[in-house]
Amino acid sequence: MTSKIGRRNMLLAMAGAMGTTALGSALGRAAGERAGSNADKDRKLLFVLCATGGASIVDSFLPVTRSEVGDDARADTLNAYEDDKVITPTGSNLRCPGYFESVGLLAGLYETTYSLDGFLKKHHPWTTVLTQECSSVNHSVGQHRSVTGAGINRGRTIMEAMAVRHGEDLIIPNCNMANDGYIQPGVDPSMPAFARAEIIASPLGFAAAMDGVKGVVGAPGRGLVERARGVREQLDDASTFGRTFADSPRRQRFLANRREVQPRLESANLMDRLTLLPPELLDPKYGVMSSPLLPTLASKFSNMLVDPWESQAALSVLLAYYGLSCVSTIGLRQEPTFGNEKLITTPIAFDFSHSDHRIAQYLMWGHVLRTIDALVDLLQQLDYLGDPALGKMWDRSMIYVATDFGRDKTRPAGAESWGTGHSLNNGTLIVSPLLKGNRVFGGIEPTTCETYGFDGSTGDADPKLECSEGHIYSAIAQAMDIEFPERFDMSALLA
Amino acid sequence: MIMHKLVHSLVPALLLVAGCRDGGGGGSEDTGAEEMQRAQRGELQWKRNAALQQDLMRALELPEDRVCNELGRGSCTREIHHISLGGADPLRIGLYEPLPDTLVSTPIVLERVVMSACANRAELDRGGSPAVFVDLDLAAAAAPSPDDKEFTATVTALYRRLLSRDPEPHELTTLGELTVDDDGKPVSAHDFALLACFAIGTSTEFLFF
Repeated sequence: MTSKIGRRNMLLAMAGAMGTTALGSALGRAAGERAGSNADKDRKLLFVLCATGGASIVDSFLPVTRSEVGDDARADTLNAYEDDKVITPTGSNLRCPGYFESVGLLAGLYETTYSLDGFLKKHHPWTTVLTQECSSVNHSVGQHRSVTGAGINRGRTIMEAMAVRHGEDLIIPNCNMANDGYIQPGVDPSMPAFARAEIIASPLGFAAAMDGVKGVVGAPGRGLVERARGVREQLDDASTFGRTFADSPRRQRFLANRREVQPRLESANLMDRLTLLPPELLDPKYGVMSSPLLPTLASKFSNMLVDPWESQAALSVLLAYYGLSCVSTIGLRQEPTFGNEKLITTPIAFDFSHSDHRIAQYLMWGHVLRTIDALVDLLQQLDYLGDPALGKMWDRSMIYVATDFGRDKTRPAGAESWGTGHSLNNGTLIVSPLLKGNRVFGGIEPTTCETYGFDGSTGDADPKLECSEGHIYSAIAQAMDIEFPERFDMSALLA
Repeated sequence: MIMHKLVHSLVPALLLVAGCRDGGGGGSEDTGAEEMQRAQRGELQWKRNAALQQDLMRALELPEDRVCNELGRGSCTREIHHISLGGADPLRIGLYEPLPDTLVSTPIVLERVVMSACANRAELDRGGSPAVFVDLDLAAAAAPSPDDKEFTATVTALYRRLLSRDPEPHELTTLGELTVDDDGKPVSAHDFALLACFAIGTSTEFLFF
């Protein structure tokens, strides 16, 4: 570990001496200015999409039909779908529920914007389902365990592990825009500081955090500001306070970021590159430009200005494209999103299943899949770091849909609208060219709608096996070239 | 007897008071800085978003909405950069406790907040009855030279307002560099006011305690 930190520092120092950085080189390449590094060629990208509230795999890509239950009376008490409501698109080995009309008291409040079968039809080749039995039905605990594998890797989150493995040369390798348990750090005290998450609460405003003065009305010219910064550093080092607390780790960390990282971020003009606000919302007095990629992003994330989920996803693309980060985490917020006239998501995201399971699951899965669709399209379109020699971003990417836990599999007999509680039993969705796609690993028992596990080394489903959070973590880690002693062998999943 | 005991009990306190330097301006006293020792544990607290905003409001006599508004879209300290500045956000993102340490973006955001507050103060002072830059003619084309009393008075006022102390002589000397640009030409009084305010307000002495 020491050597890795040393390498990072060495790279930063070398970059500084050259008047640029690893980040600068990445951005330079995005502008076609210079060649990349070996780290860039091997780097993989992880996008963690946090399906807050409990996304049930039974209501997306592992549905059970009434005929499979084999007993009408029993099917009436299970979360089983009518046979004609389950769709298997051509070429897909996966299937999903078709459009579901809201019924009961909430009928007419919602409108769907994206169909699950539309997603499968387009993306089944790289869609992988892994069954899972998680270990907590507490939201925060379940969320945290979904990204730590219940502590399998010394307590590191998969995002921290990604940053350590692939983000050593990046300025902010681990960006987290999610919420609650998904933004809690891991508990490994040996993890290097650079791998800690940069928490981003306002994706639309984050670009401003890339420059100390750009867009601040009335600020003197940059040359004078640089002069003031130089004076400040002298004052800081010479003051009684500075000398007394010269050894404070907190102050040292702050000063390292100010003195080493900030100049590189500013010299790369990242504020303009990451600004998601359109020109009409940017008063010229600020002198700030929209991201050059904004038209491309806006074509996929049309609700970006009002839906934090979409703005998070858009920012995650920019962070990866410009070589700032290798892992971005985004999360569904608690508040619902309005479409044209009706709600397109439910309040408290997937957890609205407590009130109306089917409509919450259908709408929220549609919302998540619509974003995955957009992400895949963009990643397939964009060259990594803008450099054709590095290939498309998609070739090195994985989209992991993390969720708190599953939902109950039963319903009141014959009910068309019902609420569900939290359940340990569930499955996980991963969309990536790095795994064997168009496949379910594990299975589901139709008479209970409970999933069962599989052997990660052979891929064979086995009703006697259960796959834990640690197995999911291991599968992601193995595909992302992250090694640790406790990792389960999940070779069968690799593409 | 009672008076005797009272005097005896007050002696240590009186000695302590006598040992303290007075608060005269200009930082001309010997502070004993050379005798300072490094704090072995180095434990510092981070002045977080709400405290930062309050301190800037107090020091620069600004209303809350004139501290920093990010591109006209919301408060820097309360809405846009509150996490980076050490705030919590239990309702929107479930961050019930603020982050223990500063982020990569923290020093950058701090600069934006302080620069914005300083610029707003200078604008208010230039447009009406001055409150902070009372010793400067903010419309002047050239900043006062480091030897001018206006320079010392302005810097001293900023130190007292932002750091609650007087500047040391060496600090006055260092800040004198802000009266000219890289070519040695005088900067405007307005720019000097902002730069001095910015340099002092973004010092670690202001952010940590």
